Amino acid sequence: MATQLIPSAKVHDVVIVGSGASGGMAAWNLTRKGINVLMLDAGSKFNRAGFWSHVKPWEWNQRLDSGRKPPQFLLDLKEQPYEYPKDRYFDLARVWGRGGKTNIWGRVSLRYGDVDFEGPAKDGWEVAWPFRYKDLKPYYDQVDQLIGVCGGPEDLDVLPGSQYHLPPPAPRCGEQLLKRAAASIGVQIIAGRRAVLTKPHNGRAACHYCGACGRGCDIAAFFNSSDYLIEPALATGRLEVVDNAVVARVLVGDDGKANGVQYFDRQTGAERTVRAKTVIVAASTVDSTRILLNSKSSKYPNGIGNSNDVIGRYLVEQVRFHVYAFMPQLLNGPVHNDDGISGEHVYLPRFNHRDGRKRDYLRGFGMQFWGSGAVANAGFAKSLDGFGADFKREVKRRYPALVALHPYGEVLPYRDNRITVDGTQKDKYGMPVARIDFKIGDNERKMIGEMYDTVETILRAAKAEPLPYKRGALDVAGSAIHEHGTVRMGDDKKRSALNGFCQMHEVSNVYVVDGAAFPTATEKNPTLTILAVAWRATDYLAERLRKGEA
Amino acid sequence: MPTRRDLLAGVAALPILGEAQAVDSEYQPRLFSADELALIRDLAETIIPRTDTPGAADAKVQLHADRAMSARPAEEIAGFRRGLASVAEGLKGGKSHTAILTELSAAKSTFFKQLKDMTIDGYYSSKEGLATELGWHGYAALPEFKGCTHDEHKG
Repeated sequence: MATQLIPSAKVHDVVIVGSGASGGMAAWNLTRKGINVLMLDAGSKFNRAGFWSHVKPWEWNQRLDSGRKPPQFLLDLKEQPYEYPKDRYFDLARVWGRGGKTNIWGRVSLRYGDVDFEGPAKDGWEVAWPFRYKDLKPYYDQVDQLIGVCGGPEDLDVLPGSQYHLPPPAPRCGEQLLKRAAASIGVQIIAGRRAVLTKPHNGRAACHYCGACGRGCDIAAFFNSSDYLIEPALATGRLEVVDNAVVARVLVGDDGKANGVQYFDRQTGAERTVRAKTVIVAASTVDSTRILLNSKSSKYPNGIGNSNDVIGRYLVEQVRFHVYAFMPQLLNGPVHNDDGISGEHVYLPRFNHRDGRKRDYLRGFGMQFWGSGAVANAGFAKSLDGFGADFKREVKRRYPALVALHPYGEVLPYRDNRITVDGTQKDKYGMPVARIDFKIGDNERKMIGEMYDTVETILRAAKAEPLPYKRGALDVAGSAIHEHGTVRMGDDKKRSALNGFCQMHEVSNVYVVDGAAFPTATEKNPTLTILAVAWRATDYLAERLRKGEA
Repeated sequence: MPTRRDLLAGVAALPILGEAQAVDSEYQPRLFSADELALIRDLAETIIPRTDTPGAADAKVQLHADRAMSARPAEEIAGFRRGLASVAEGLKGGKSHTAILTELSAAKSTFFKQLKDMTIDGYYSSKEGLATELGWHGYAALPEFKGCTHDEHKG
């Protein structure tokens, strides 16, 4: 159970900062190996019974009007601000509370392949990944079995297959037609891979296709760190969780090793410390980086583990945009309940390395299709001209025919894309807030051209009519919520902060197991890989602890 | 200081009223006057009229507009009100709603865009617009998901 007061004299074997995918995995894996763990969670457990999962749009407004509030997953910026340059907005979504962003995540669960792991070593852009697919494959296999990932049989170089997929949900009509159109031009669209239980799994109920996953699942039929990892870890009796513990710093002893963590109670503002033999930082990329950079000492004036000035740099995200269109075969057709598992049932894997033609940019892009079919709004109508009865008829005619194309492209790691804590703005605890400075470069601009070409070619092949869009337009930086890279791993100790097991080169008893550890973004959604990497890292840590090496 | 929202929450807690009833009767416009609301209702109904299915007035889109616009910055609210006043002038001068909206639409007026977007948001999130007109019946627990059932569209 959660406790509020920890005697600072006790020295914990392992303290984990954060309860999301990586922190939950660390707690689950270590406790099942007999290790005692203290977890510091910046919030508390969300009340699943109070989720507004099935509330219809008109009921939603009525509830708001009557003064009720839906669960507040996203952290209020007023409570914990961050900065960015005036002309470069960065959209940062954070969830403080048990399970973090996995409460409301998109659930896309894609393995990285050796095209990804070997990419930097081959094209020379920044540091190489310190492991390859064969090293991570056993962990991907274990993660798939543990959390339940639905998907198809495909096994691709950019998207290795899994023998543990649950059955994929049937595609919607628009998705089927896009798949057929893409195939006609040699582009493969396959079954999506999502951490949604399409049948009962490990004693958990299957998805009931209500489609409102973004509000939190009322039956936990998709992976979230709280129910799937932290509750089982608590059941071992070896995990203790401190609620509302906003971590400020990792503390350092005279020997240069970490010896604890300082945090503030989110409700009372009281400052507290806990002692630890090993500290695992898993607060998600931006908060983990903020904590490490704020962990300044005479030994580490640039932040703990950051003598080589790598931490905070090489922030990567993805570039993405959204094009909507109408499939001619579906105009004026019957309206189905298209909710399914919410979000797309298909995925377009990266293909630009396949035709042998050299591009004028590095890396690649994939595509998602969430929001295709009969959705709970008709926002597209704002892009249609006119008004009156004809307009109303036109909206209805198009409603079942909507498809949505969302390409995601990799952003290369750049030294100057970085998180710093040197600004003057402080949070309510007096700690400097994170400042995020992120921009894309020529490589991304060139790739975006081919991303648009691909969307247009598929839509032409489908004879689909797109809603007006501006070629080259992008969604705001940060909107993919796939930020990582600022505490990257690598074999070169001068150019990376961690080894391949997420252990700091400079401070051997500090581990950073979230997406901050990734040297590259890839075009894919990272959570499945974060889970696999955190599992592998904590296997390594457990083995070291068994041998008495901290 | 208690807000109107807080007071409304108090009303909603009264046990006499069932939830739907309480909710239906309780949204109190916080921004627009009765005249402005009536004008918004008539304009919204011109954008999405009642046909063989309900229209924007049936869905009380004017209340949605009040809710949405009251969250906007003061200068935007003022601009929208000037737009309403200008439409009211036109109506006094004998123009029809349709004629006025046709002019505003052709001129790509900001007021028209705001009005139309709010009408779309309000109508197609209402039971009348989303369920009755478009046929959406989602956010429901289903035993299975069949996907595309049209044979001719299968891959």
